[in-house]
Amino acid sequence: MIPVALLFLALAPTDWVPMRWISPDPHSLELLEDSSINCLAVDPAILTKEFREAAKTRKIDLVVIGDADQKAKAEQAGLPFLEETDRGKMKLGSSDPVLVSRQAVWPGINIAEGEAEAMPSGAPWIDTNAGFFRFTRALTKARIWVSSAPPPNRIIPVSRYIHAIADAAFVGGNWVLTLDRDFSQKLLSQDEKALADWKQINAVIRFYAAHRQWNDYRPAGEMAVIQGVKNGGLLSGGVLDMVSSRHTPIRAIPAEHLDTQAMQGIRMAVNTSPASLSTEQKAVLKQFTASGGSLFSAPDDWIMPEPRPDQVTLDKTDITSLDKIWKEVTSMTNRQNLGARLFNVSSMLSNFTVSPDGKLYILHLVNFSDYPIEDITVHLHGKVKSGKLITPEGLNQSVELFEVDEGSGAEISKIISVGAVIFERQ
Amino acid sequence: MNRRDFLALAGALPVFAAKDAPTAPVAITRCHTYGDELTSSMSDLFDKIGGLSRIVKNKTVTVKVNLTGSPALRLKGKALGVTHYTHPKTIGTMAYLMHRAGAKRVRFVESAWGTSGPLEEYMLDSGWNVRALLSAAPNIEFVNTNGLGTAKKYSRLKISHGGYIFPSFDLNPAYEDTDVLVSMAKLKNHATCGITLSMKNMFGITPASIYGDDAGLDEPNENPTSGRGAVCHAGKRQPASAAAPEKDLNSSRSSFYRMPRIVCDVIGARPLDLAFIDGIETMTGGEGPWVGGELQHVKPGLLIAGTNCVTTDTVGTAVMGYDPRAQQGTPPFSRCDNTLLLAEAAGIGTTDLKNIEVTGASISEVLYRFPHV
Repeated sequence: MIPVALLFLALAPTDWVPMRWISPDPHSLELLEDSSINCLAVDPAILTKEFREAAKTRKIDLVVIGDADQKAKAEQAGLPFLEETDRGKMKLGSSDPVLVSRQAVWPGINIAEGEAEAMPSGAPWIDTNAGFFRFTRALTKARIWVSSAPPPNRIIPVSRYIHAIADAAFVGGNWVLTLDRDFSQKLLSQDEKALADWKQINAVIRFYAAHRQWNDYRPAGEMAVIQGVKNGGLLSGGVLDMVSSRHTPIRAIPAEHLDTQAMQGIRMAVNTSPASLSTEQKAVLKQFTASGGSLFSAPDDWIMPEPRPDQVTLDKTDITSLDKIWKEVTSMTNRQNLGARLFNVSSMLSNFTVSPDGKLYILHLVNFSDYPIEDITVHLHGKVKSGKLITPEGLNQSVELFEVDEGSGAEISKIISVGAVIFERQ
Repeated sequence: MNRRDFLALAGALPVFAAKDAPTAPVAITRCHTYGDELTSSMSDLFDKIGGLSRIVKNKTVTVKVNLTGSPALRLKGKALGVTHYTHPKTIGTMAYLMHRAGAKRVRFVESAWGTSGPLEEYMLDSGWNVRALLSAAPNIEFVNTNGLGTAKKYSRLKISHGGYIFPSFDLNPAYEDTDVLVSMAKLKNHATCGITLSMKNMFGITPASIYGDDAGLDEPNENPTSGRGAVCHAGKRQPASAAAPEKDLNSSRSSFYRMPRIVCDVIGARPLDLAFIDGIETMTGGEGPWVGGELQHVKPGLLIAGTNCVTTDTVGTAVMGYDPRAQQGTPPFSRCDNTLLLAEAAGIGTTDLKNIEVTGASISEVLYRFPHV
C-alpha cells in the first residue's frame, strides 16, 4: 500500500534531487529559482504553512530524513519519511523507492596519502563512495542516497560540495546536500561570493538532473567484481574502488545475484566471495572460464571481516587482508582494455556505461583536483561513430576520434569539474 | 660528511685537475616560449656548437628525456612540461631537427616511473599528444627502459673511471645499440643533488626492474611498480644479483653521498654525445612537486647545449646563479657532494668556467638566480 504522504507529491521519489534545507523562511526558497533541487529535507517541528505552500508552488516536495524515531513526527506533519541508517542496516530487499545511508566518506583527494615525499611517488588516492553506489545499485532498484553533514564548525570549500555531489551522481546515486553553517548564513544574507558558489554547485546538480535517463544506463565494463554484502561490498575503499581508481570499467555483481545473465559480456572477473557461492553459482563461473573468461578467485580461506556497524571504509586489518589478493588483481587487469582505457586521469574518477538499447556509451569523468585537466585520451574497446563532450559549464563539443588497435580513440580537451562523453556506437 | 666520505672524495679529486679535464664549447640562447620561436631557437643553439649534422648524420640517435615522477603529480595543476618534465614541444622539435640533420633513426627513451609499460602510454598519461609527436619526423620510436621490454638481454656497461659506487650497470640495450646518446634535461634544482641538469637526468636510465625497490633479489622484476630509493638513494639493498653489486658495501648510505656518485657512474658507463637543457619554463626548489619546501614555476627563458655534459652542466649551474665548483655546504650543494666536481675528478669534463668557451648569449646576460638549496 502506498503511504498517504506519497500520494500528494509533485514528483516521483525516484526523480527527487535532495537537499537539507537551510531555513524555515518561505522566501529562502527563492534561492532555488534556477535550481534542479526539488526535494527538501526539513524539520517538521519548525515547518510553517507558508513554507509548505511556497514549496508546493515551486513544485518542491518536502520530506523528513532521520532516525526511525522521527517517523512519527513526519507522519504527524503529513510528510514522507525516509529513514537514514548505517550502510549495513539499509533495507536493500525492500520495495522502498529511496534508501538513505547516513554513512559516507567525504569525497576528495586523500591529502594524507599524497603528502610531500623526498622521492617521486605514485598517483594520489581519491576517497569516494562510488564503490558503495555501484554495489548497492546492483543489489536494488531503489535510489540510493547518502546523507552526511559537514563536521560542525567546519567551512567546506565549494569544490568539496561539487566533488560530493558528482561522486554520487556519476554512478547513479544521490548526495543529500547539506551546507555548512557558515555557507548557509552567507547564502541567506545574499553574500556575493556565496551566491557565486551556489551557482556553481547548482550547475553540477542541474547537469546530472537534466540527464537523469543516465541512471538507467548499465555498466559497460567487461570486468566484474563479485562481492557479498557481508564481505566488504558496502565499504568504501574496497576492491571496487581500488579497481575503478585505475579506471578499469567495472561491473559490480553482488554474490547474491550471480547467475549466467549477470556474467553476460564479462571477460574478466574477480571473485572475492568464493566461500559464499552456491553449487549453481560455482557452475556459472566454471562455464565462464570454460568459454574463455579470466577469473581470479580469492582463496577459500580469504575473507574480509564483516563490517562493524560504524564502519564506512576499510581499516588497517581489512587493507592487510586485501593486499593478499590485490597484486593478483592488478597483474590480471594491467593494460587490459576492458571497455575503455583512459590516460591522464590520475586525479579523476570515471564510470563507463551503456544505454538500455545498447546504442550509446557514456563516459563520466569527475575531476577531484583543484585545476582543470586537459588532454585526456580514451581508447575504447570497439568502434564508435561519434563522440560529444558535455559539461556543466555548457560545453557541447565533438571530440576528435581516431583509430587505435582496440577500436576507437578519442581526445577530450578539458574537464574543469565534471563532464560526460557520449559515444555513438558503430 | 664523515671521515670516510671525506677521504673518498679527496682521494678521487686529484685524478684530473680542472685544467686537464676535457672541455667543449657550450651554447646559450634566449627562448621565451614553446611556440613558433622554438624551432629556430633550437636550430640556432645547435649551430653554435657546430651543428647537429656532424653529430647525428646517418646515425641512430637515442634521446633520454626527463619524465621524472608519476605524471599524476603536478605543480599547482600545471602541465608537466612547463615545470619538471621535458616539454613535448622540445621533443617534437628535437625529432624534426635531427631528421633534418640526417639522423637515420631517433629513439626517445626514459625509465618511466613505476611501470615498464609502453612509453607512449606514459606520455598519454602525461597529457601529451603522442600521435603529433610521432608525426614530427619519420623513424621515431619511444622505448620505456625501465625493464627489458622487447629486447632479449640487458647490456652490461662498465664504468670508464672504475665507478664510485658501482663498477657497471645492466641497462636496456637501447643505451648500447646506439651511435649517439643525447640528454634532454630541464634546468632544475634537486632535493638530493642540489641541481639536476643533463647529467642527473641520466640517472633515469637505470631500470627499476634491477635497481628498483621491488626488483627481484636475483633476477630482474619485469613489472616494476616503484622507484629506486632503496637500492640507489639509500643503499638499503643491492640491485638484483644478476647485475653487479656495489663496490664497497661499507661506504656511506647517505643519499647526499651516494646519488652524486651514482650519477657520475651512469655517465661513465655511457658517455653523452649531446647535452641539452631546457630553461624556457621550469621550477625552482626541487626536481618535482613531491619535494617539500618552497616550489615555484618560473620562466628563465633560455636554452643551453653542449657536447660535453660536464661543461654544459657547469654553464647551466652558473646560469642558475651558483658557483659550479662550490663545495658541500655551499648552495646548491648545501647537503650533498658536488656532482660536477666528482665528474671532473673522474675525467669526464672540466668545471672551470675559464676553460669553457660559451657561445651565443653570455652567462651574465641570461643569469636567472635560483634559490639557495
